[in-house]
Amino acid sequence: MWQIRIHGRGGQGVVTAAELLAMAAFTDGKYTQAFPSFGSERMGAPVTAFCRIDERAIRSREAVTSPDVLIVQDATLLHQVDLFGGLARGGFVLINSAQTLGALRIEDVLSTLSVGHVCAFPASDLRLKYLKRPMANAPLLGAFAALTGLIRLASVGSAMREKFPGPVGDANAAAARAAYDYVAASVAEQPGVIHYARAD
Amino acid sequence: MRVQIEGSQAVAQVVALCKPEVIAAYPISPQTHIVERLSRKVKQGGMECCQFPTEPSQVVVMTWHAGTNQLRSHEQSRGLRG
Repeated sequence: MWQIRIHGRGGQGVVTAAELLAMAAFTDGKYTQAFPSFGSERMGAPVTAFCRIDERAIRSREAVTSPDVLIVQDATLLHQVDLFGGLARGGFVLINSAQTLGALRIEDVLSTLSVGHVCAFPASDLRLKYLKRPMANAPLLGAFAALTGLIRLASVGSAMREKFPGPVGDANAAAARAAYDYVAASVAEQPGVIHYARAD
Repeated sequence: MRVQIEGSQAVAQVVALCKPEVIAAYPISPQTHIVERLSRKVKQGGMECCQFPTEPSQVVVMTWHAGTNQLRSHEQSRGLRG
């Protein structure tokens, strides 16, 4: 079973990201679940959402305490919340940031992760090319597909079109595809710890 | 056939199939999506016999319990207060 934990702030689409991830994996024929932690709900407050993906029915309904993949939608949380708590050995980390991994001051965490399992890229900036609001979730899900290979990009796109019918879904799917291509190309070209300064 | 559905949407569908006569609505997290879905169903038709009073508190919703015997009610997970 794969367990994914998504961190961000209220209003950034963290809960939606978990739901879209589950929808995409379901399209791929997996068993999935997605749910947020139930806490104070206000713009800007730290928010956590969870997703599980498995080949068979999932019985657990608990919050994810030992994630295999960590998605960080807001890098300002890196030193405010215990983001990396319980991260599995060999796990993946995906961070929305225009800074390099070195500039994020998370060396102690990076040293415990496998080569090629960490990616920081400016997902908010990338999405602004497709939609007016800098919601990082769509590009991050495209990057998730490229980094982990756990879900197909086509399924990510179909989940977005199902959740947001019309042009918004199409634009989100395009943003996810751009992120996928970007991360996949960078992984191929530069295996190892991945970091990028810019989306373009 | 397997279908992916949000839990709240599934609850709303089942409630609609039960053909309630009254849905006293006080949406609050985490049951907001259930009431949202039911309000749409009532408005769009298919539940013509159902009243959908919107109420200012969960306590007022409770008073509908006293007056009806076909009532659907959702409270927030930490329970009623006040």
